[in-house]
Amino acid sequence: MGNLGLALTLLLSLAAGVAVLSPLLWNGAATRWQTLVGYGFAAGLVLTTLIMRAGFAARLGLSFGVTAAGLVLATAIGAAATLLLRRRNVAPEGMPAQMPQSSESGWRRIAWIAFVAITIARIGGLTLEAWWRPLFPWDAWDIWGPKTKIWFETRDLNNFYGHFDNGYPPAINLMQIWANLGLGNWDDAKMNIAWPLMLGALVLAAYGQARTIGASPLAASIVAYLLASVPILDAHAALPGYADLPLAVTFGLAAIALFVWVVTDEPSQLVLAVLFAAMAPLFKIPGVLWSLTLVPAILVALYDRAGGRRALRWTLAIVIACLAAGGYLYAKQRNFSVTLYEAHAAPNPTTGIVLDNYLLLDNYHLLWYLLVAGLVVWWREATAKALRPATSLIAAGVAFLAVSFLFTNSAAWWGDYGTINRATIHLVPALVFYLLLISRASNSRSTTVPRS
Amino acid sequence: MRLSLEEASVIRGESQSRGSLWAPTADAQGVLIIRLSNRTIDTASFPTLRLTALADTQPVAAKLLWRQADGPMTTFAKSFSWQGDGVERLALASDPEWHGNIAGLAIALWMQPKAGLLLQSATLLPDTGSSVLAQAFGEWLVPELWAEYSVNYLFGGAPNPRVPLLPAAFVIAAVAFVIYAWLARRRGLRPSFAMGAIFAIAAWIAVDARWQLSLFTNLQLTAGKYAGKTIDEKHRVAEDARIYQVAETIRRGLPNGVTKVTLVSDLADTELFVGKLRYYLFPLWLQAKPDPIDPRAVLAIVESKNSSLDAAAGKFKLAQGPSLDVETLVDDPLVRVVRVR
Repeated sequence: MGNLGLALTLLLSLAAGVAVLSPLLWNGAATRWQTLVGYGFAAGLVLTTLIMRAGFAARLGLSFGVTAAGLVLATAIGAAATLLLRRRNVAPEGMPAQMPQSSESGWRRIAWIAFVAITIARIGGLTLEAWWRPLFPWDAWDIWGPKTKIWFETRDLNNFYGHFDNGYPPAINLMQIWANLGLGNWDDAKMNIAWPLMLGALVLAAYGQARTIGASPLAASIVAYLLASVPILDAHAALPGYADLPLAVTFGLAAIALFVWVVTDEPSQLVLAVLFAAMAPLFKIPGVLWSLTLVPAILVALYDRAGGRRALRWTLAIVIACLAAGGYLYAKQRNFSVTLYEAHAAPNPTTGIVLDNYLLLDNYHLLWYLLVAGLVVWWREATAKALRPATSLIAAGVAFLAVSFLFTNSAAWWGDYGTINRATIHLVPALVFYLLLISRASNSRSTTVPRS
Repeated sequence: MRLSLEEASVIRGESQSRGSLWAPTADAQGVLIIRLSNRTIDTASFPTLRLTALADTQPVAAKLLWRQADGPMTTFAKSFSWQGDGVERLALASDPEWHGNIAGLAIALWMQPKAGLLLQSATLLPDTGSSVLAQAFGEWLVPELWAEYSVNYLFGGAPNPRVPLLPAAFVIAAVAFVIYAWLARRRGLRPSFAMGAIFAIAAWIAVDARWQLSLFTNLQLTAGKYAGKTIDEKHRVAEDARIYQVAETIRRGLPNGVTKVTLVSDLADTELFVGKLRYYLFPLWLQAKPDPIDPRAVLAIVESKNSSLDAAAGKFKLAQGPSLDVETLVDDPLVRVVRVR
């Protein structure tokens, strides 16, 4: 079917994703289309892979027709549910009936146009790179590509044809197969077009969510630009085929929705956060651990909102402590193994490697500098009740990285800096949005005024 | 002072080339000594040596050797730790033996036997203010081309730069903000958050401009190589084009019903070669070594010194194995495919 077929696969996935999220996010004139389309595209791709799995399990085969039919059905169900809710006047709670003023003027408008243009150009360039270049990075052709090729050629998800099964979830492979089904032939360049588009979806959704929490169009465009310009994200979009960017996008969207829930109290955002947290493990097993980093944040938020129920708090704390202790004992019994990772008590001498990669090599631009500076300057805002859940999520994420870097055998693969940044990339979108959160909180109490 | 590689010579080891690059190789004991120059050099003018070089394996030891031009012509050696990321920089000013005029400059490396060193340039640097600035800017603006490691980490510009751009940009932005805050307070104003944000974003944009340069350079190269081509044409011009061509030649020559190919090659232990060949052959299965050889096995013979094929007589023999009767399916300069009778 060629390029038109590929475009059709993307449109079908987008439509289904937008439709199934509409009951959560559609609110007539107050809908942030950027949020809906950004989240919708990522959700649509995940939904596509689930439909492909369901179709195969139901012995309907692995074909364009079956998947397309499933996506059309999902679109119809989502649209019907949205209409039904609208007729019953059950709009997503907490959303305003109208969007606030959404344009800038003067130099701010020029700056807004510049940031939007640079961001679009960046995503466009990365898309062309992925479109032209055949499968390039090592694991893309050594680990992920073979399964995709075997499944595409044999149309059999149970067939490994002698290739080792790494036990990883099939979402990446199915996204590539879906593109090839649309193309009508095997093309290991164009099949990866979803990678840069997922980065685009993340950027778009972050823009919409920044506006939802009251950021000006200019501030939202800066957040979008910062996200689109982080080199390690760009590299994974330009040289696609790894699971890390899709995982970063889905976990990032979950974290951003949680942040928005913390600020706006909209229940639909909490549902969105949980929904996307559930998607992260579909791409890569460590997605389970990333999703779990939302738990302390949600608990802190609930804890802060519970009021003076002291007894309940103590009960909750004890239950959590017991669960943590139980989890610890269970993990210890299994020698702390999660896939290939094993923990140990003595720290690795890897601090230098971490600092090199975070502060000297250009993997993240100035993200870590700004985060540290931001927390030093705005630690009060970061730990205030309003932002405590968001800070808990970031703290949990950083703690997870610190434990895996310092207290597991992952350091053994760092001789060539093999995994450190592919572990950190998952937290990057959340970090960028968190910077917006704490800077906004501080900005609300800081303006250029004559000193009294 | 850039030391021309044309005047460099291998004192111990072998002088070899890889494509257009000079790749001197260590001897069987793993020793490689390269004389970089025989010129007389005034050490006072050049306190730093910069090598753009990448070794196949990390040298376990590295030394810079030089000989005094005057007096007893004593030879000195300075050990240094090899960074291994493409740029080696040696600060010589503090070395008491780096003084006066010297004649002859060499490097000695201890590596794995037969390991190679890709040497691109050797430059003696004057370390004047303008020289240091020129180096720093020059290294910042070196575009980073895509490599297999790019999804793992990114240098951003030249590896191992004299002044890393990220801390430099952050320090400049921080100092600018401190100056602004001082001036604001002198005028009786409270420093604005917005100005701090502007300094931070400006620093980010400056760093990102460098990254955009790399992205643009890469995109130009990618477009020139792949744009407008079919996927088959793309693979035929890619970095691994020869492996792809081997796979396609094998695939085209196979009779119907064959699902497995056995590789006979000196490259069978090379992960890159076998991995890519296997990827391109899927869903055909590639057995990496002829151990065992199945009845009616299809053998793909690629760069194999340990086997011999007499196509006319229909005989194939492995160095340590019996002679087999075979029929030739493909006889191509890249690969020969035979089937055991």
